[in-house]
Amino acid sequence: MGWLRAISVSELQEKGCAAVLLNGLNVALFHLDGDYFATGNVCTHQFALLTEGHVEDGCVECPLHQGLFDIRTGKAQGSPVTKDIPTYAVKVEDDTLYVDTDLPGQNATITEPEAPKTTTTLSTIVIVGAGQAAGRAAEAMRDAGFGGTICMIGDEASAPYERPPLSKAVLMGAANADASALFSSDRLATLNIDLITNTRVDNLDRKAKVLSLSDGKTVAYDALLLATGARARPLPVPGADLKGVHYLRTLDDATRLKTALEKAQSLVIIGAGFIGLEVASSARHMGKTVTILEREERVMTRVLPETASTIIAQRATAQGVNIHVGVQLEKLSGTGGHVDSVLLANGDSISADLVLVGIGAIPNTELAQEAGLSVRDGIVVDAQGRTSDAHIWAAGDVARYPHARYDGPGRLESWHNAEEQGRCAGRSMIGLPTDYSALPWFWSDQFGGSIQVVGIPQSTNKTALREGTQSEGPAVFCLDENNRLTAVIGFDNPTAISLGRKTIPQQKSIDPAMLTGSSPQPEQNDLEEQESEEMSISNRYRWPDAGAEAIPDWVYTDETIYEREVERIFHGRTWNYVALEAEIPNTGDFVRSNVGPTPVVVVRGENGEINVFENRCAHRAAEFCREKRGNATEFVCPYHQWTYDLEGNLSGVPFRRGVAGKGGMGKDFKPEDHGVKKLFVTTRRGVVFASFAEGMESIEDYMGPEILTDFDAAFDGRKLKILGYYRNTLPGNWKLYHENLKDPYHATLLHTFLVTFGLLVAGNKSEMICDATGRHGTMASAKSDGKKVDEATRKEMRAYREGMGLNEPRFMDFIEEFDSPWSVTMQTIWPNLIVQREMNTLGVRQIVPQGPHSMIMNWTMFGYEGDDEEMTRHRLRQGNLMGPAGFLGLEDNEAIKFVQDGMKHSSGGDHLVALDPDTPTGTSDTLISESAIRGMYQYWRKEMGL
Amino acid sequence: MSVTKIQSIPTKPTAEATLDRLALRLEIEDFNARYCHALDDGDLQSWPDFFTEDGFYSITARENFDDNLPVGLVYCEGRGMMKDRAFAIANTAMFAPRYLRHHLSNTRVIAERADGVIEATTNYIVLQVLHDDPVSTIHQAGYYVDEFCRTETGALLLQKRICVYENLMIPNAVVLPI
Repeated sequence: MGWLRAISVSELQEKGCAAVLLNGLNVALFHLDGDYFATGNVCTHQFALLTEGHVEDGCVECPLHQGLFDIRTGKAQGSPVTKDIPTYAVKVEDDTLYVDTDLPGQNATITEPEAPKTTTTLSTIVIVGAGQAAGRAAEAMRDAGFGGTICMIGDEASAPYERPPLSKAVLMGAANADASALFSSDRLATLNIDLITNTRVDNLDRKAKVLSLSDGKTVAYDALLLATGARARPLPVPGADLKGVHYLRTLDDATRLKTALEKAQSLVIIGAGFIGLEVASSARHMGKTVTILEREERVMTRVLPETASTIIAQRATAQGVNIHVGVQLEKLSGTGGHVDSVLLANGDSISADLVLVGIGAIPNTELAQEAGLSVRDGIVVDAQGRTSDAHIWAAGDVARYPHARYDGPGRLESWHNAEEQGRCAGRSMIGLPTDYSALPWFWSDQFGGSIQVVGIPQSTNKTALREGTQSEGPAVFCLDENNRLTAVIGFDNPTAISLGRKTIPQQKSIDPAMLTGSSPQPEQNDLEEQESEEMSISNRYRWPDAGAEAIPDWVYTDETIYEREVERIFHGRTWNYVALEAEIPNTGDFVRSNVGPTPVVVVRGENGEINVFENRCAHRAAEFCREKRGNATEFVCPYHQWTYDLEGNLSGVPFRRGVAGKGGMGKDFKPEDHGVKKLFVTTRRGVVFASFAEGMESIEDYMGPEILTDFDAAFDGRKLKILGYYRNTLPGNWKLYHENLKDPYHATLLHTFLVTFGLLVAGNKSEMICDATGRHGTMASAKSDGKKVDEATRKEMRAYREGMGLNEPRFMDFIEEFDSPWSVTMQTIWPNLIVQREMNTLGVRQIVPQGPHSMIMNWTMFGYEGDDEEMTRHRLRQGNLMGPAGFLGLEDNEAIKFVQDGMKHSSGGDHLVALDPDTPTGTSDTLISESAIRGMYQYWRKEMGL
Repeated sequence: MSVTKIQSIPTKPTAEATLDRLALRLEIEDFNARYCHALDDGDLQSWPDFFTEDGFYSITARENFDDNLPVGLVYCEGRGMMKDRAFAIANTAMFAPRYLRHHLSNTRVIAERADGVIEATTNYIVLQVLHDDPVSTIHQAGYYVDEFCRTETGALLLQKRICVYENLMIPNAVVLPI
């Protein structure tokens, strides 16, 4: 077509942006910092002209749902928009701007910083469900370079599609099924998904990692995503099976309802939720008589506060919808098998050609439940979307995930959640860092307007109403008891929604008058400050461009990062070492311990089980257990004598019923609700682990086979005998301890003792072993003859340097006693355990982090029952190698301190961990490698969402 | 084993007995002054010479000592192991430069056994100053549990010294003997 005259430059300069129709295309023209740009003018999310939106910071914001596009490059800036708008070439001649719609914009080739690519070794990923979350997960994997097989199994006939249009455009005939497809056919082809349609998954065998399908076939997976969605809740009254009773969940539902609606005159909708109201809106648009019946006393009781319900009901009523609230259904009746009326409990009857039921959805958790995954109103997942099985993820309507900003986990049935969580799970599955903490966002287009919700409103929230103006509709602000903004419901009010997006994450108390517009708006400066504060952690903490080879100082020094580690790692999905069973052999035996920095009590209960609970009184938080170890029949907090049994249950509250009928606890006080916080506990071969996270995988799965082998070599079934404790503070970040034992490079360089006395000689076989996740490690080495120091080797040791033999070389003897090719294994078991098997001196070390700059190391040294006195003394003599005064141990502690000092007082920078580039991460058989450290940080970043 | 306990004495001791007791205490204090000098200012390599050939030396936490848990931060059976440690600390060990200074008090003779072994305890504090940190800190606080014997020439030698420290945490590392 060539250059087309678009606009006069002076006009564009005056307006800033303009919409023109060129060559049949909606084109947006922008004047930005003295330059001119042309882009597509239609939002890629839903139909709206971008030029009617708002231009700021080089981006244009869609007026409808605030999707943002970069004007220079056309790049979509994030949810709700994911597809870029086209850019077109422009030129200026005289006072005229010309556009060539066949050429891309001059800046279209500006590329964003390269997103990290996956290095996963998985080959087959299977997705059960073919909805939006499924589609976005698959897309995210391909975008990150995943080249393996993606198999998607759906029980509908179509490729992934979006549901929002079903109750609107599809129903009104304004769009066909294709319009709601998630991917264009071209895009779908490039995604290269093996799509199996019209097929159910009947069984999930987690052990074999195999799915059985309804057509009798089986599909094996390396990693599995359950995106099974939800189904409409059936109406539990007689007559619900009559013809003419519809639900709206799938494309087929929508098509059937559309056909039926075209012929019908009157529609009765049961349930005043979003589906009901949107269908009501569409049906009114088509001129039908619409009645909504709602069981509760108002519309949207479940999800919105009353102020917002009222506005919605008013809008619907104004459009001629009859709304009856507080209605009890008796039954649906019909003639000839087709519904013709709805009978209420009060005897009223409402005639209906059609009935639509919209009373909520039930998550499709059956497959997960039968496979034994943790399920509670949804499949329980963590922030990365992982279920209680380390190889299985879940996302979308079916996933119950920990809302970063809300109390307790929950499910969200929304387009936005499916979109973002799906993408997140996809990334997590292929080993990339993710963190699903998106601020929930929801929209509903009805009765000619758009309702948007950010945050999660509670029906019981305090609210503040901002009245509508000429240009914007009203908005409802939801506040918690501390006047912190928790959600905003905007009725054609993008300003309020935008304010909500900025303010909710700050979690600051706020003057409701400021929100409602009855007091002045915050100053612009305040807003900017707020914006920078709410910049998410992942924006503030940017990993260096060098990638895996660099570790920035803030990883070790930053308070915010440390707090996040406590929350996500020590209090997250990890098994934390707390004690050895040998320390607490009898009922009532206890030790004080820690999970991360958090003090806990580890106690042998009445039934012989081990209980771990927080050392914090439920009354006034006192750390009640003060003895390092001992035996107790119960725990009494010394402050007010609150008493706990050996399981941490509250068993006694003094003066609970007051004195002489006065004071005391209220009648509704239930001791069983006020025990101390209990942790989940597991053991392996006499080693006790605890976790704050529910539904953890088994300790064996957690360690993985590579690590378990050497763990079991040290804990080989012989009963342990405690030889004593060392405790030391260490002024270094806790991860440096893991790194020290994932860094075989330092062994001969720092520990010259070994070299001087010829104790580590060339040719010693060694390996740095990692598990599949990269979090655990085993640094292993074998004496040169593989087993025992022979006479020749000993001579070699003595002769290594003239006059530098040991006076007492026997302390370095290795007495063979383990089923292992290694004479030394130092295991790092994430996040807080080191298992030391240094020849015959054995111990566990517990890391207790104390902020970013310091940790405590608790060493428990042990031998085995059955050791004779000489063997015990041999272990003790050999103990001179390790511990805070050990020949090797003291050097490690000093070196780690030096590293932290280096970061505290220097000009800052990155650590370089580039040794052995041929092994990017994981197990390495050369000492001169840092692959295990890189692997650990790959995992850490994923857990931290950084 | 026959043991003469020297404890709180109900009746007034003779002047001679008092002098003997004080003389022994002073002798131990004098021994310890030389011992500490070797560690604080002198030649670390001479440290094993304060022990008998089969002497025992360990440093352990009070929690271990009280519960009869045998582990030692440092655990030396015999002078040979002490020599190895002194050599290794002086020649191979990597640690930040520092000053250590022992402060002893309350030497108490517990018993003079029939075999000539003298049981005694002495409290200690060891202060540490790192060269890059202006603050002097308590490196260890505790007490020696000692057994002395006499050489043929009558000089005292340690046949056993357990350093029982009561500070719960070792600040980073114990480099030199206590």
